[in-house]
Amino acid sequence: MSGPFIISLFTTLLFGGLAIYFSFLEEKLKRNLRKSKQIHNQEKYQATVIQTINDKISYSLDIEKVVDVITGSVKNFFSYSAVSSLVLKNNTLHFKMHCEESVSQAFAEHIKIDMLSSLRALTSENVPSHMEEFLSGMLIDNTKQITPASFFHVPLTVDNKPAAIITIASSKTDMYSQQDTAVLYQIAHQASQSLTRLHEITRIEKRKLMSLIGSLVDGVFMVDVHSELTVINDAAKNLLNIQKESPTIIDVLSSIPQADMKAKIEKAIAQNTLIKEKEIQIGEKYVQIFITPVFLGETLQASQNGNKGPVIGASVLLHDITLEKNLSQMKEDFTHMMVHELRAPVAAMKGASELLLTNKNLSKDEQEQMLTIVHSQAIKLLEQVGFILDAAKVEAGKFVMNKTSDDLKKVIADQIQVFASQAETKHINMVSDIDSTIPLMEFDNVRIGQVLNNLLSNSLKFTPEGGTVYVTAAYKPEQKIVQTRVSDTGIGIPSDKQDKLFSKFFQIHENGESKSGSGLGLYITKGIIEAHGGAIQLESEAGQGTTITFSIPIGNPHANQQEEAEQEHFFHKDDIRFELPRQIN
Amino acid sequence: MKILLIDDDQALTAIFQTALQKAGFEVITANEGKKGIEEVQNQKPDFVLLDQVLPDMPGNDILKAIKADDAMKNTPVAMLSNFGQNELVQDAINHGALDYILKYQVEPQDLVNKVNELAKQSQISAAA
Repeated sequence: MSGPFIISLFTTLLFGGLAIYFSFLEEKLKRNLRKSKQIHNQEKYQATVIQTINDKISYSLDIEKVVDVITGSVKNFFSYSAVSSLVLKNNTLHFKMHCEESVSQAFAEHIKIDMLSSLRALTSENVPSHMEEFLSGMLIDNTKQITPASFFHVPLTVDNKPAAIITIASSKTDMYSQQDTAVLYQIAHQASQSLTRLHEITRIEKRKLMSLIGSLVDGVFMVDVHSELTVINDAAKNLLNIQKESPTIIDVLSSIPQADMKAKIEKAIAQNTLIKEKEIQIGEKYVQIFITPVFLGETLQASQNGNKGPVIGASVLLHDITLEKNLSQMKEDFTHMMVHELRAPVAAMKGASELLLTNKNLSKDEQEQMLTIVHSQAIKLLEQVGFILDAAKVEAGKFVMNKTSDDLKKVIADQIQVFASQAETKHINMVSDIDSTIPLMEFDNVRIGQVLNNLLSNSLKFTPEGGTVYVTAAYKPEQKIVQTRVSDTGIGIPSDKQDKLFSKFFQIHENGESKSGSGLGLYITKGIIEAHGGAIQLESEAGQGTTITFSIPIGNPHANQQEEAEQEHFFHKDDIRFELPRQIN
Repeated sequence: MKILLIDDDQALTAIFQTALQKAGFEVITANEGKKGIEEVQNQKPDFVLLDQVLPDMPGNDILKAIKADDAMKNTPVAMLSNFGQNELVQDAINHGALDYILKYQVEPQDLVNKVNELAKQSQISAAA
């Protein structure tokens, strides 16, 4: 063996070894490069998909569309036989499967059943049974005896509730590694987060809107194009007398059948016009109704075109005008009363004086009779005007009592005397029982006299012949009051009218029957009693009789202060505001 | 001639009664519906002045009762009205009232003239 041969052999071996080594390195490097290129591509596609998803979500919260984006992009990451999705939407399951290669029906069924049980496992709520299926891609070929050898599920949750499952399946085994599936999990997770966040935002906005709608004094409700009720506030429920927490359109329509709402809503939508109903009566309330069509008008395109977009329903506003209506009724009643109560005495004065002036044949007695009429009617008229003034004072809280130390027993007895002859004429028995221990007390004897006058007059008026009127008064030292009661066996007051008894213009009458008296009497009586710091109440039964009891404190309570004076006087349906002229006493 | 005046306003009744009596009529009065109907039955007046608004029943009901009764239905009736021509008055006329008189506006002498006029009218038509 010569030296040069060994050197060349060694060199060859060395270079050969290096060459092999480097080629291995090259292979390794090439592999790494391919791998990182692959990863890079994956990441690029991942970013694209996520971007697309976010774009899609910004237009719609439709889970199905989002899932479609994901399943559509999946071929960029994996090779598979089929990709499927199971979406839970509107209480229906939507199953979609897209096949890259032909699979058998059994293959599809296997996947579907597995996805269903996954979904069921994820939620404690009932999964709906109604399922719609949609298959695309390569046709089903039942000759292919393949099974899903490797597959994995990726769940999508929104608001912590499972909303969909995406499944990748392949007929080949060991297809999907942890790393592979991680990509899809990440995408699904991102989508979940975005959807959940968007849901939260719309929920907050909706809550703000509902707060606003809920705070409205007017009633509001909205229906969609299918005439389903989408929104209703408490004010509307009150006006319509609906107690249900979540009423349906049926509840609403049946509460106001007289309004023919269905037809009107349809008309408003069809003709794109505001429909107004001037006055509808619901029970004891009067309501104005405004129906307006509502448009989508949100998309940029729609508003750019000057187009409001498609109509999405109608909003209905219920405006309570009961107060206004009652007011105009009260004004009418008041005018009616004034005309009668003031005109009658004046007409009598006119008639009597006319007779005196024109008829020279009147006897002395007849002349005196006419003059008496003029006089007494003038007194009656002044009395009537006085009542109106008193009522105004009660109303204004300026009903001042002139209290002096006096004997209530005497005031009561005097008034009973006033009505003695009238009672006798009508054959009504007046019975009195006045407690002799009633002490002297501070009260306005004129006004309390007026009270007794009013109560006795009413009792006599409404008690038929042969009846009885009881007047009792008792001293109650423990309560520091004197309680007085006027009771009769008269026609009584029906229970539905009792709470209005002490209000202005209250009279029991039917149409065509005499409206005698201004109806202010009891209102003023109550004002007088309360101005004394006392209380008054009514007991009555139609056909049985009426008892009115009032109490006056013995001591000196907050004297002339009328509590009503400072009370917030928001327009009450019982009120007509009397304006007290400045120079009046 | 006997006139029945059915009205609950005491003052006005006294005035009308005096005026009519001075004009030669005999006047009886009733201050509520039931009594009024009784008086028509018992006293058989030649003319009735009937208030539209009475304490126990509407004047129009009394009118209808009178016109429904064979014995009473030919009695001429005029309504005493608060307000003049309105549904109530129209209803009365539809049920046989001859006319209406504004009770708060009529002068006593005019009332007398009107009653005379209406009485003559109904006598003419009764005779015909």
